[in-house]
Amino acid sequence: MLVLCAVALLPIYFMVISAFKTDVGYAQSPLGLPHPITLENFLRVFRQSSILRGGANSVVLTISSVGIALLVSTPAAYAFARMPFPGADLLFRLIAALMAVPVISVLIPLFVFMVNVHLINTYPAAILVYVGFLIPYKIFFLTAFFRQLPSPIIEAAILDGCNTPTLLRRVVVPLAKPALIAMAVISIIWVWNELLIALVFLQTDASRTLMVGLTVFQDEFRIDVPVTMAGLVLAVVPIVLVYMAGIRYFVSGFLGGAVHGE
Amino acid sequence: MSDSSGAWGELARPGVRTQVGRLRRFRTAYLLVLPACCFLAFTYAYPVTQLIVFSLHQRGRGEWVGLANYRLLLLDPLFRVSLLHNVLLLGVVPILVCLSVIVAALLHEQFRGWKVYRIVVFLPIMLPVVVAGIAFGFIYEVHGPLNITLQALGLGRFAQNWLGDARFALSAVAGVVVWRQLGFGIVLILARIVQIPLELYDSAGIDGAGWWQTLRLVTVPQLSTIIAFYVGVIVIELFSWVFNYVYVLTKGGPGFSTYVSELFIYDRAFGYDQMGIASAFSVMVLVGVVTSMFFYFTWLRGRDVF
Repeated sequence: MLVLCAVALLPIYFMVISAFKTDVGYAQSPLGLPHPITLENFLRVFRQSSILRGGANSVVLTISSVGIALLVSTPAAYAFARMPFPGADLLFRLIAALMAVPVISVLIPLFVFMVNVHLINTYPAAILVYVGFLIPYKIFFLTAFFRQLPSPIIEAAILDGCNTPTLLRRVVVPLAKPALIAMAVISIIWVWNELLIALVFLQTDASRTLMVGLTVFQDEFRIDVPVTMAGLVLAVVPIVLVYMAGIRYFVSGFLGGAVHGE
Repeated sequence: MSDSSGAWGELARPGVRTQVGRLRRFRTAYLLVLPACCFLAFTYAYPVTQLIVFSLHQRGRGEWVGLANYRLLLLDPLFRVSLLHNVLLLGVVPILVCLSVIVAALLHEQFRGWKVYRIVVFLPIMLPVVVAGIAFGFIYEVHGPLNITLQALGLGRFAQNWLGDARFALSAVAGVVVWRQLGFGIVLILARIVQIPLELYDSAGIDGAGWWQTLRLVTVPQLSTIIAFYVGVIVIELFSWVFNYVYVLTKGGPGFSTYVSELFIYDRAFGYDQMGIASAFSVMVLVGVVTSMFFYFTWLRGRDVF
């Protein structure tokens, strides 16, 4: 168990301490604690890379795609869960199967399409694609969750003459808040961390996301380990914050999350 | 919804069994599902049709070449190599499953300090793959922390050029995948373990079963369905979601020893301007993956995993 923890922690430990070392300090002791502790690396990251712009791009993309995806998936999940209609079962299994699709495969035609309509390197292009990829996931898990909602409350609302939009808004959503928040957190983290879609659809310096920026950064600062590590640490901070915020809702939602290698 | 008012008027009153009337009852459901389906149609259905079209033309946009791209693809040695690497990566499946089960069982016993371990085990998954990849890129260097640690432990002869040596690169990438993905398995299995009735363990204890035996003969059979689910998830990942790991760590090198299907497609499409071949491969992968998953979910549904 201890060994496992050591293994789990070591790379992270290495990353964090290296960020605070001077170049000389790193050369002298790659594994030890930083001797002159310095913040210089972080400053260099801010000055010499477009990390702030990358971060801003990531934020915009993340919030819009996750928001739209949730807005669209929640009603659909509710329909799958509690309103059996012809073809529901088939459609649901098909949508679930879509979670397995390699991003790269569908990217090619989408890329060509975006180039043709001159939407390449704009937010809407990436957002459209992200929403499309977020939906199967969300529907899959929200449906399972909605199935477990207490029927009496919902049935009572329907008997009281509640029509569907109000039902969703006033009854179902408040009941489902933990699951929705968990899904939102997971999706936010997924979009933030996502590389391939961002790499393909947002190629200019101005539109690049943080993760893509990191790979560029990696090439520019190949030799300079501490600075690269500082960049990595900065990139991770928002994620950690989001995790902390959502940790309460997590364990049940988490079973659905972090599936993809992102 | 009052049936006999509104646009359909008398046609919709109960007792009138028209096709339209029957579907109309489900109108709300269809409406709820519609927006999502529109997005999905754009992101999945449209590209699939386009892919098929592309794969039948030269370079995806030139003249019609029929199945020539497919033939070229199958003759390409790199095609087989990429698929082979994806399959080799499946070697992490037993590792992930066994480790997850063991660690989850340990955590379940709630020995001293288990809460801390639980958080620690989560941490790798929190990192973006890109970040983990870059960090490991340095760790794996010839004079990097991994080799230094090995030497410090007296295991210096195991020190290698992990990412630079074609013999070890794939395993090195697999190592990063395992490091990062283990936490998910642990959470998944732990969630199922806590549902196992305690009486089973009591009777095992009475029968004098040791820890390992209990694990093998009591816990694991109870976990069989969730393990099957987990295996399915891992397999999806190893075919469809390893691009990030490989791109950041090795970009397919050294010498194509870590080349995987996703990279093949990416290079052909965006590097070599061979959209036709890239599309052909994509079509094959898509068909394979989606049909497998469709049947997999059908099978799972029968076994009542959810």
